[in-house]
Amino acid sequence: MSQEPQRVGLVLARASQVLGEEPFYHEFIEGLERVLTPAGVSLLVKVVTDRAAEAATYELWAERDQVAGVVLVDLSHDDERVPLVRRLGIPAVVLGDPSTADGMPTVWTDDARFGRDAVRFLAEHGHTVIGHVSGPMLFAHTELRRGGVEAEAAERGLTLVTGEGDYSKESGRKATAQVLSSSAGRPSAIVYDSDMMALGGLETIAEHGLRVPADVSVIAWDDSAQCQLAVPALSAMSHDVGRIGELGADAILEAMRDPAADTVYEAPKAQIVERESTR
Amino acid sequence: MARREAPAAGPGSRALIVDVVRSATTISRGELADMTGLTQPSISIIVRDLIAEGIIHEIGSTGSTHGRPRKLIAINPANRFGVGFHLGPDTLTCVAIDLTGGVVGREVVPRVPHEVWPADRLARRFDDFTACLDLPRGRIEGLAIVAPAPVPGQPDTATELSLLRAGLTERIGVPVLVENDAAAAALGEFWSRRVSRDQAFGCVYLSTGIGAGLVFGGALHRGASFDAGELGHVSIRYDGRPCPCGNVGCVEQYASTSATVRAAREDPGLRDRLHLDGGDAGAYDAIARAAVNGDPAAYAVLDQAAGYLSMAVTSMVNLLDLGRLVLTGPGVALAGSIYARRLRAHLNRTAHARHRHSTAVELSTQPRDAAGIGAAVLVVQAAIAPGHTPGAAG
Repeated sequence: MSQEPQRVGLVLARASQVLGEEPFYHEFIEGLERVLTPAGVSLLVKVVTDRAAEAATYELWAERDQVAGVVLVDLSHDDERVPLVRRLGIPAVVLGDPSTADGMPTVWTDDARFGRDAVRFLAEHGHTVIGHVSGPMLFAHTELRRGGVEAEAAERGLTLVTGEGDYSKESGRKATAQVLSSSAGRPSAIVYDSDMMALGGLETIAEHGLRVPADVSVIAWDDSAQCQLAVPALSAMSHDVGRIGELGADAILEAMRDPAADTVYEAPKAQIVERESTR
Repeated sequence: MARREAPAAGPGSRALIVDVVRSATTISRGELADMTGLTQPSISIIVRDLIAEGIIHEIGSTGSTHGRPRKLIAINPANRFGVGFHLGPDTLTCVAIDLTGGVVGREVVPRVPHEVWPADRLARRFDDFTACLDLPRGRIEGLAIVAPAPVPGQPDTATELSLLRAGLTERIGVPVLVENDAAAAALGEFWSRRVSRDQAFGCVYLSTGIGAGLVFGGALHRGASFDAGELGHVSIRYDGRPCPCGNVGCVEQYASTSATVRAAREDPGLRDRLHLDGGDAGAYDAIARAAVNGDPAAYAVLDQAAGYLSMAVTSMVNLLDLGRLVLTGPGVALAGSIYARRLRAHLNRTAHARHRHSTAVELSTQPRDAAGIGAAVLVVQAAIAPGHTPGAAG
């Protein structure tokens, strides 16, 4: 009988309920599998509650020789997972900015540029006070995106008010309440780093007696069916997440073949899809 | 306030309590008594046992009008696990969930189309998957394997799998269940969305075929031979397209993802622009993505499929007087909004009971994995709220 197929591991450190709400990872995983499955490689996703459990998972996988490669996501600056998997000898690729990858193959999502694009879009629609509800600032991609948002707002002389969430709908509600009551002024547009946070934000905006988009425009990040079904339907920064997954699969297959691989794959550009929540 | 005469606690009481706690998220013992009609002493004894077994835990207190704080109880998610295998056209998807239906792990492995793995190979897959997730065997409640319902006269995967159950149970040491994928997906949505057992709940599973699952009183409706919910074979045209099942005009021939890809490929412009000549799954996703990003031709193809599907779903809703419906399956992963919007409009206009109640139409949050998650939920329900799953006894 044939031997078991090779396996690539992906560890996600978040509550299992949050994973259920994040279409980004469903589509990313789908894209990875579009390339890995025909190549005879399986993809194992493990959901753990924190970074310590994630590190322990890599240690165990290496000790038991259970994976041929791993995909690292949500990196911070000087992320300890990068030297860890290198020490363990597991081929790895990074989804994020090349500066976090220490020379490993990377699928580069240019978050700073996408952040600028979102602010430029709103500025061109006449908004001068803009809110940004980000994901956890611990993540390098969040920091880079925030950096892009800040730089573009500063260059255009816009006022920026910010909040931070954890991608859950509830955190989107809380951060929105905070942003709407900012002393710097009430934003006439809010950009969210995820679709679920934007959906939570819609509810909070309504609770404040404000209308979307008449009083506040809303942009979700990562388009999803839930965004499209929202009332009003959410405008979104949409990128082809399935394609990002396919590039991730190309990268990990290369890393498994060649330990010296260091290619940077550029992810397709994000684009604003205008629906009913912006004006 | 006077209460109904309390029934004695019977064998079903424990399952009832678990199910009410599940759908309530958090609840006090007093509220449990009100909602189940069981007496406080019966509830105290059953809840004590459930806490001892790690199925339920106390998660704090809330104020009470009588001065004494009421302790709240909830399902204890991460203490035990269920495992589900979903046989897709050329993959095997393995899913592990906690007791609330939260996914703790998943793996998709390639599979030769239509190949049924012998028991020892399935057992090795189970061992390998759970070992990679580091799940202790003593905390795994069982394995459920789900596959598409067989086409009449075609090889019957479900029956072949049923024959493997005994041997597989012996090898892996936990109970093994077999179910059709759409039915399992419905139970998965019912459980993880915390749908109340009082609701008449249905689920539409859109994939290369179309299936449905129905949950009444907290139990999956099976029919005479585990073949209930063949929504794809509800005919929408008496002189329509022939279907391999023997009937004509089956909605599956018009609205399945395969039918949609066929329709899109007939439009040469769409075919070239979206590069639809590759595999069906990739082609369908390309159409769906274009449609939600504003491509009018792609939108028209999907909206038409959604219109066909709405005809059949309305018949199902009318036949069963459903109160809540979830759309799931890979077909709604990217463009579910188009189906949901069309279906809502159609039901608002045509559902027979529309003047008495609305039928909520929702989208699954994990449509691609719904069948695998549902399989794992089947195991969890059979373990902690038994009595809802006639198939589990066999």
